Amino acid sequence: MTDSHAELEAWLVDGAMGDPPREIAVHATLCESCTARLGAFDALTLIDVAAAGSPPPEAAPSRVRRGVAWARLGSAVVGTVVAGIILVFGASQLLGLATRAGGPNATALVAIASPPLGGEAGRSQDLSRIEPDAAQTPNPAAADTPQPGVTPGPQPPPPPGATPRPPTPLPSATPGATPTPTPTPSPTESPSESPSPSESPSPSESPSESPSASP
Amino acid sequence: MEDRTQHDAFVELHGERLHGFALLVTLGDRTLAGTLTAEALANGAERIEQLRHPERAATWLRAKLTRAARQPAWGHQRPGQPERRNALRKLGVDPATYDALASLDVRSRAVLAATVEGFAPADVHEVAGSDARVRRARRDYLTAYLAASRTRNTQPARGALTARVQAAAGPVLSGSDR
Repeated sequence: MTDSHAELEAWLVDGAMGDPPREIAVHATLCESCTARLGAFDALTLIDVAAAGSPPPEAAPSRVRRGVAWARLGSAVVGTVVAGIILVFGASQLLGLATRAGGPNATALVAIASPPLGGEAGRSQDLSRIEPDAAQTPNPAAADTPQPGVTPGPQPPPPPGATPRPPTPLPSATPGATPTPTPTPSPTESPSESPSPSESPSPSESPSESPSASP
Repeated sequence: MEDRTQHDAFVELHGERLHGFALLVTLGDRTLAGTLTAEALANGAERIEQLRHPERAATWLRAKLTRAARQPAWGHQRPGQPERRNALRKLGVDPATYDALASLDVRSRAVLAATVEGFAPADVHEVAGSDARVRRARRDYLTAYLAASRTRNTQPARGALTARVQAAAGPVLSGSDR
């Protein structure tokens, strides 16, 4: 008996497709609770959706639409603000890194461009090996620092040794502020064949002048 | 001009029944039902070329309306229960059925409304999203209706389904009657 209830219910829940098995149909017709089950879905068949009539004219709708629009606008604003915060934070982090990375590079470049007295001919190769970024691309941080080639004062003589300095910020390495009255090196007769990058803080001119500068 | 005619024909073809569907889904909220119907019809009219087939359009409209009905309607003042009951009574919804529908969620009501309209199982599935949801909606409705009719002590309705089952059991019954 319970199985018949369950089978009828399963038939109804599955959509009441086709006719139920005859045993179930007989049971459903005689069983009060199953008749009630049938009545539940029969109550639905008594509904006439067409009796609703035509929808009202499109005057009312904007309320819901406005609510949805406000929700969308709110989410868009929140999203934009969050994205802006992330962008600003990321940019500040990147700029901070760039400043930190640019400082030593610039100082090192200046240190290389204005080496101590003395030098040797093959120094440009070492420079290009040690400071590839500074030799190939212009560094804005390095451009801000005063350079020997830019300052109108007398240029310091090229270094006698080819050993480059480590890229540590040395206060003594910033030239230009106090130009030393050293003799200006005279141009050499045998220019160096090493390629010199054009836009970089031109360390390539120094080696060509170095041999003659040393007494 | 021709577009306008097509649009009007589309609204005329689907408007009334879709409005009734919306009333069932919103449980008799006339304002919301009107809004949802208008929006769904406007969206459907924009895709009138894709929705040339009437049954396809009807299913699409109901699925669209059901999705929209599940969104929160901020700023919308909901009607009271008497107003809702009155709106649905005009469609033929009896009190026990109303109680049962009120206990269901929007998607389950949409399943039952599509069933009321006589949609094919595949179309009901499209409105609901899955067969499991369809079955669950029907089961939940059955349970809620039985509870409501017990509470209200109402006689079960007799309609086409009961007649079908009686017809299937007919010869046995006629034999026992004699």
